[in-house]
Amino acid sequence: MSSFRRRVLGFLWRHPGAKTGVTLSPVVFWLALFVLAPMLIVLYYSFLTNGPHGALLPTPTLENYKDVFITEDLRTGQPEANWLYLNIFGRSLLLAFLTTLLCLLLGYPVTYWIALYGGRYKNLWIGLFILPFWTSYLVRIFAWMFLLRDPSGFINQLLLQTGLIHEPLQLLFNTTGVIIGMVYTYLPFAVIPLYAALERLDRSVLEAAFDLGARPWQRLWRVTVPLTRGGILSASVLVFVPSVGEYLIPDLMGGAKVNMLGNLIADKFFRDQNWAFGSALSIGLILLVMALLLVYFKVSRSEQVFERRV
Amino acid sequence: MNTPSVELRDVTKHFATAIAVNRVNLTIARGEFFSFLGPSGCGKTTTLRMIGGLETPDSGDILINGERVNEIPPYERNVSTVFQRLALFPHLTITENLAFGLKIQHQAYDVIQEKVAATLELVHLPGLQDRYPDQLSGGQQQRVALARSLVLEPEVLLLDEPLSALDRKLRKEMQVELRRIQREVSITFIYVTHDQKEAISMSDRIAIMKEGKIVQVGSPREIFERPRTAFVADFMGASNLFSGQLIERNGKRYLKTQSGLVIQVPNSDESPHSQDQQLLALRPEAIGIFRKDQNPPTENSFAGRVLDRAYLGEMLEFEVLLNGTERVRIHSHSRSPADEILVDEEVLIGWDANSASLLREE
Amino acid sequence: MSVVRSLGRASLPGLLGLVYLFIYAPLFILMIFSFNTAGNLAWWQGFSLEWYEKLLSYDQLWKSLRISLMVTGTAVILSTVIGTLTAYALYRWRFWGKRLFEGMLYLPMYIPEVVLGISLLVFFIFLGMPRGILTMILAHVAFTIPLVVLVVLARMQRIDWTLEEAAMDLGADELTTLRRVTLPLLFPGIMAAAFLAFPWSFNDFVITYFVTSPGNAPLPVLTYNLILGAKRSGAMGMINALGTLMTVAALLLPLVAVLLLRVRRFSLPGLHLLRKKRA
Repeated sequence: MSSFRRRVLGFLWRHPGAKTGVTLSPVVFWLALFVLAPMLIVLYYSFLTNGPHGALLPTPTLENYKDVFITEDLRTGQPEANWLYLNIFGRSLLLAFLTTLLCLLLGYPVTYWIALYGGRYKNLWIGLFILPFWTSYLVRIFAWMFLLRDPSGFINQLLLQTGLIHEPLQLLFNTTGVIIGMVYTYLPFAVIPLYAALERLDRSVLEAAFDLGARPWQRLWRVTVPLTRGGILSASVLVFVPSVGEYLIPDLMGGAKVNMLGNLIADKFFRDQNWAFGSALSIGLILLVMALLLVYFKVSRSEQVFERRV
Repeated sequence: MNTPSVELRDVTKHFATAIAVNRVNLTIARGEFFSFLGPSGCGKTTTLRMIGGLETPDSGDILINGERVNEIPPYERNVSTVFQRLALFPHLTITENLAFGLKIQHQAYDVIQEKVAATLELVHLPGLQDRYPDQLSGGQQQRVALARSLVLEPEVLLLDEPLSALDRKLRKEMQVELRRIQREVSITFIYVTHDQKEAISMSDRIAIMKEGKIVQVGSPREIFERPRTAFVADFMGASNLFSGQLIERNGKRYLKTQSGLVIQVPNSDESPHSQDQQLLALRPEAIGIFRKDQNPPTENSFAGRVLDRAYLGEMLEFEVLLNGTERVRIHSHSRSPADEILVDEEVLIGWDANSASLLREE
Repeated sequence: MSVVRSLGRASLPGLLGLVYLFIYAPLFILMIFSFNTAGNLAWWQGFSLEWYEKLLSYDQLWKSLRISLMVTGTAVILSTVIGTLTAYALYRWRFWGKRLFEGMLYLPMYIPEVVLGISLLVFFIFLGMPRGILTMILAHVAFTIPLVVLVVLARMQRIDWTLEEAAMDLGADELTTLRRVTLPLLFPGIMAAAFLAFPWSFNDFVITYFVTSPGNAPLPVLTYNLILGAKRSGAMGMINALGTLMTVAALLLPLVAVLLLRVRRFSLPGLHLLRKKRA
């Protein structure tokens, strides 16, 4: 053992704080520089004034935040609610909510079946849900575009060629397309926590419920669902949070007709060259997500208390 | 040559707000088999870990072989630990587990082979060199853990309840083995346990700990027969306690309890302050129990009534009420005349004055 | 009555089948039609390898693949090392500001990708850094670290940490303990982390799109450009072929990993811990 190594390690042994510092320095460096600093710059820009040709003027202002909610009537000059942006906010929340609901409705029964009746091949069944995680996100979205296009997409062709329909259906470049894309992409995010919760479920409790005369539906609503609330909550957050800020799926599958917050932000930065306003919208989206997570942590903590009592 | 193996001076350790070890002073001689005995949470494991270097004392000094080692990391101390959970490396074979420390010392390949083989022989574990720990039985794993520490020929070997995971029979066997091995290698063994029988049967000396403090140090016999506090007496199984005042009559000393019993106490060397409230401890198996018609042979004999009786296999346990207030627990052999005594029977009990012990402070 | 009941019993496996169909049918249809003569029409016209020929002779594809592998390879190595160190400190030590630190650590997982991507772009412009391979690597490391930390932490919960103390007790200093005991025990977890970080980084489009330049398009950006182009030119056949190759490669990767663990002769330190416990 070289004496240098011995001296360094001896120093770190006597100063555990230094040991922690050395170990954490790379991650602190990376996160501070490539996560926190960019966000702080965006925060800073959101208080600047947008100038001509995308320039940013260093005049501090709150206009950008006001503009998200309030606009002026073109004729009267009276302030009124800015429905253009508020609609996009509302649509993002609604689509994320629908995606979450559909993921739960599809994911819960099938994971329930796998966890309780999957037998020896449980891991294989669950693995099949997670496997697409390794495939390309873009390829998966494209595969759906290939199915949904009209009139040349597979579904329309199938229905037209078999004579079931005579006019092609509009499946892509609308809300349906976006929801299909998001459910498809985020279903595994729901399945993993649901499976973890259902797997942990004590079977004897279910048997007891049967024993006490509960019908299957009663058992599901009164026993299984309440006992797996934690998993349902995690699944909802894991699907809702990325959905609400989704960019690519509405971009490709919404055909510029279904704008969500993510697309609006990108448009403000690149099409309108309005960085200040784009920054304000970004901060708004971050705050929205943070608020959701805060609620989640609050609720899940009280859930834990509940679970411990049970 | 007279330097003690391990010395603790005023060693204190806090965890968060609780005090784990409180001003412990102790000297352990070379080649001694020394045990720390106490209930869980008494600080015995923390003391051991501080000697091993896995914890650092907040204040006080730890000396190994006369040298202060407070700031020396465990890998530079010539002590070795057998952990409660054994901590055999699951990714290494038995040979590799034993060779681990030797390789770090950069010993020659031949030397390593030789030492590993010799140590495996010492712990009676031949022919398993190439297995992995999870392929061995609990008792074999135990021996590997011991061998892995012994192969380094440490100054002190620390054992943290190493036998607690074994079943009763295997445990007895390993106790004998440990004693044999300790005699053969003549290394200082420091043993932590909560099992008083284990400590008594193996140790040269025992330290009893309670709430971070050492309450009594001595040979197994001293501790067993002359407990100093109610805690030690109770912990060593002397569960009958009488409290009262000391009086002297005809050159003999007696304890007069509040209920009016007058009990002769041993004429011990140390005489406590006679006017104080005193405690007398008495082991249940030291008391004889007799039917009314028999003659109790001893000087302390009292009449009482059997409250309860339980069959404990080789023993019978009686609970007897004396003078309407004092409850006494008695153990006697199942195959003795006492077997005929039933609940609610009026009986005589008695014991030899010297089998009781006067406790000192509490 | 019994018909209803057996229908009820069959309904869950039936639904499971439909969900699997929902997951895999689009990918299989894409693969089938990559061999179709008509590139743009999802109706079978005849077998052809035309799209594969076009794709494989497309220079940009090979350039993009090289860029992707370079960025992901570097990023995965860096983030695995940094993430493992972080997980170790989080699991083993208490330190001041730990909760705040944990809150910050997982930020890249929560912030919408588009916001993180644009923020990074704004930041690189602010610094005057030209976008390209380097900026992509910096960004990819940042968003893969939390994933590595989570996976390694999960493994740490299953380790007997007395082993570390035992190693130090037997004379190994911290670095030797790390090399000889901790890393071999953590190895399966670290491999799993790298194994998940790889597709996470390789397939990322949104963040990558904002932090690269047009000349440095990795595979996802190339795919995106092809999809946008196909809307006009109708060259979907080539994307079908590209998608097929990427999907097959992606599905083979986990399979190879599982097989590697099954083959006993293939040995790495600590690998046997991943296999089923021997009796």
